[in-house]
Amino acid sequence: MLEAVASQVVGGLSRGMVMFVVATGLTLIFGSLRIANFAHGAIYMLGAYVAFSVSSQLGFGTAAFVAALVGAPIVVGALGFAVERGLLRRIAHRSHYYQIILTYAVALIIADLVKMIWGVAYLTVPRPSFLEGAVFLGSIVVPVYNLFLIAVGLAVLAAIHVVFNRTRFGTLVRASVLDGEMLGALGTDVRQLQSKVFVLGCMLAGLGGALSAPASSVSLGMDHAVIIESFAVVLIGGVGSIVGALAGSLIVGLAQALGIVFAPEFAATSVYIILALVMLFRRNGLFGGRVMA
Amino acid sequence: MLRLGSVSKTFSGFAALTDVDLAVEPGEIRAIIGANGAGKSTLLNVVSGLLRPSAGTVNYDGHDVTARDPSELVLLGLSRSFQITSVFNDFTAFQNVRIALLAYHRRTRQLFGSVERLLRAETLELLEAVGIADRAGRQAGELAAGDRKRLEFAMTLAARPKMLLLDEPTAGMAPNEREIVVALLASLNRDKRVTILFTEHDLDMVNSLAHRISVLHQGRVLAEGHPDEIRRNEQVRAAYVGAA
Amino acid sequence: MTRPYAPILACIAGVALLAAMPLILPATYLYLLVGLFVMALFASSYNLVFGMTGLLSFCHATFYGAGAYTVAIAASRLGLPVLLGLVLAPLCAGVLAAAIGWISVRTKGIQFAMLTLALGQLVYTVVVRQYRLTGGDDGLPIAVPDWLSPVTTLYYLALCVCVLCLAGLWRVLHSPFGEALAAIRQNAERARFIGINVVAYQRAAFVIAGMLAGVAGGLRGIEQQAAYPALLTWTQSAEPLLMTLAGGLTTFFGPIIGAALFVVLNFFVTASFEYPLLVFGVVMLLIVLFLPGGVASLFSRVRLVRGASET
Repeated sequence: MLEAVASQVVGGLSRGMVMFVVATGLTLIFGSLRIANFAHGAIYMLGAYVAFSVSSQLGFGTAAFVAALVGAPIVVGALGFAVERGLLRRIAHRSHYYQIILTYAVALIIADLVKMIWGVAYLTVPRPSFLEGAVFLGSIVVPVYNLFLIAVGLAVLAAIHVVFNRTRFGTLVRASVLDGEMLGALGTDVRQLQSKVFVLGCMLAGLGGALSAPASSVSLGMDHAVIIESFAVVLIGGVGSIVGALAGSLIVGLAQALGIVFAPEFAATSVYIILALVMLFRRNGLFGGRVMA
Repeated sequence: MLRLGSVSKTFSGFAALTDVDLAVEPGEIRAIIGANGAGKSTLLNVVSGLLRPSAGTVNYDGHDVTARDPSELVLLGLSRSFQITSVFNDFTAFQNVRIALLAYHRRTRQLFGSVERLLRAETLELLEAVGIADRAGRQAGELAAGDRKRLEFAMTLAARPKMLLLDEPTAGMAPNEREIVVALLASLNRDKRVTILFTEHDLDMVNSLAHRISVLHQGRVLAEGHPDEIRRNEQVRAAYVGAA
Repeated sequence: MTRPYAPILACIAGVALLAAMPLILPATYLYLLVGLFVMALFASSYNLVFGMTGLLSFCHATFYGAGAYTVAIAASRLGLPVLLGLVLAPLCAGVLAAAIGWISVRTKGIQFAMLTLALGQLVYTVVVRQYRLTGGDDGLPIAVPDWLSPVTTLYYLALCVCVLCLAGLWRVLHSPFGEALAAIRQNAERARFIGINVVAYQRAAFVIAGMLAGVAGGLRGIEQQAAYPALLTWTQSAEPLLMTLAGGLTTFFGPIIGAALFVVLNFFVTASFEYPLLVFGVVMLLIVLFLPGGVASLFSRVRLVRGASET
């Protein structure tokens, strides 16, 4: 029993880490540009499909896998750049509802483009050989790939910590989340900064997709599952807060994992229950108002 | 009519109001003056229910209204206007006043029946009282600043208030508009015994209208008294000059 | 006084024209129109909460689906006649809307949107799991009585119900209550300060809109001869939002125009084109970029806008 719980917990943590990567992108876009990016799920899906293509073109080996992890974010980042410059900028002055509609429209377009390019079949990305199999942690069996995901998630967290606390770019982004108008008044080109944040957010979504591709099959409909979960995590943690994205992802990941063991009926709904409770009692999320801890 | 007992309000460490005691008698016209940031608007916000005081009580017309919803206060006869004129911008001036009347007469619960034929006479009456009846058909968002303020004023009157809270009622108005408003306030007070509490920067207007003045400085009541007394008060002068 | 009559005459002419359609159009197009009536009602009911009162709700499909399921459960599990189920549909949807509204309307903005999303998804998940009551993933069939089987009868039923509901909605929007909602949308704070209990009015609008969505859902169930979980998803909730924005927010006919646009587009695109989402996405994009007031802004003369009436 304990083994079942522990193994689920590790699974939950690894899912949570991927969620963290994706949610960080979303929370940054939400916090800095004040846009609810409904294309985020579609971009994640696109990242997974691009990872498949890169990986398959290069023979599915270890090098191919690494190339995919690098290539997917780059491709989706370029797309994000095009969307932000070409579309979002044009309606930047309008009500936020229109920006939501626009990103939703982009999500629809990306979804059908993916269908056009890759078809409707389920695709699989095999794990590279050095990440296959499982290890024993005490008496529980843990897939190596799950440990890899946790490690990558922590690495992303560390990288973000460095960027946001030690670089000028990071400081500016934090400032734009906390008070964008003030930042503009101080002379920073906030638009340029927001462009970069949008691209970064998309790259994180793409990375998340690429990471999760070997863990589950790549198919149409991935976008739907992810988008709601990501929004839930972002709001639970607090819009604009990276710490919040981490907390939210881990809470949701663990809740789902434990839910499967103890209350399978509720596992699927746990995200929504947590979101509803947080919205009712901590309107700004658990870490609302704080970008880093 | 209105009694504030030791009202304080802090915003994350910043003390906007500290230990404010205020008593406004029925039929009185009281002005609150003070430098920017002295806490005048915060005071009105606390009294009108927009903000909850961190400490202290607010007593209006015998009721304890310390944390009541603003919509309840309106129905008790306490109406207010805002520093930044707050009206319904897409509605015409006529519609603005009419909806205020409808709300006061509790007619807004009506689900059927056209809104068009209701209360035309009363609406026009109020618009005339503030002098903008000829502009009744214009969209509120397109009116001049002074007209908008007068429109807002007409809306506060729709609720047949026993007491008015006005936040800088003549700010941005031309002298003739100012006179209209002052005359209207004076006649309301004289003929209908409406108690008036208002904040203002224009000391001439204050002196001509107010029965008593309370001076607010950094969240505390610095002095209180008749306009002449306040004019001669050294502390007040120092505070104003110091803050200028 | 002749001005107010022109729009009314136009509406009567329009309804008469629609009533004549079964004489002209083949069955396929009649089904298309039924779908249009349903969506027009669904989108118009959404406009009541979003366009008129300013509440961005993501759970409107919950009430739509509840309507369909009410008819289905009434017919399949309780043996009640379908028309009775249709009468019960807005009542059940209304109760659900009252519950969700009571919880949610105390919040605002994005919190409100997300809360409604969460609660809507919650209802969806519960419905999908309750196989015994709701048929779970498969949905629940609705046995349509013989007299209702011909498409013409269905058409007239849908037309009458929708015209009645929309007329009722029109009356509500032009009543003092509707005026209060418009005031709340423009400046909720000022509305409080003229004595309107904003939260109570928003909840009332939410319930009325939910009831109308329930009627639309009931009709949809009858037309599809089934109630199914997809009717309750957040993507289904997104449809009236998109239709309303595309057609023209805050106008009465905007959502109807938007619904027509979507239904017709959907019909012709899915028939001939494999990538409908692409088409929808591009159309939405074009509208957002170039027609911010929605399609209704093209007809600005005929538009009947809240707040810009005479006097």
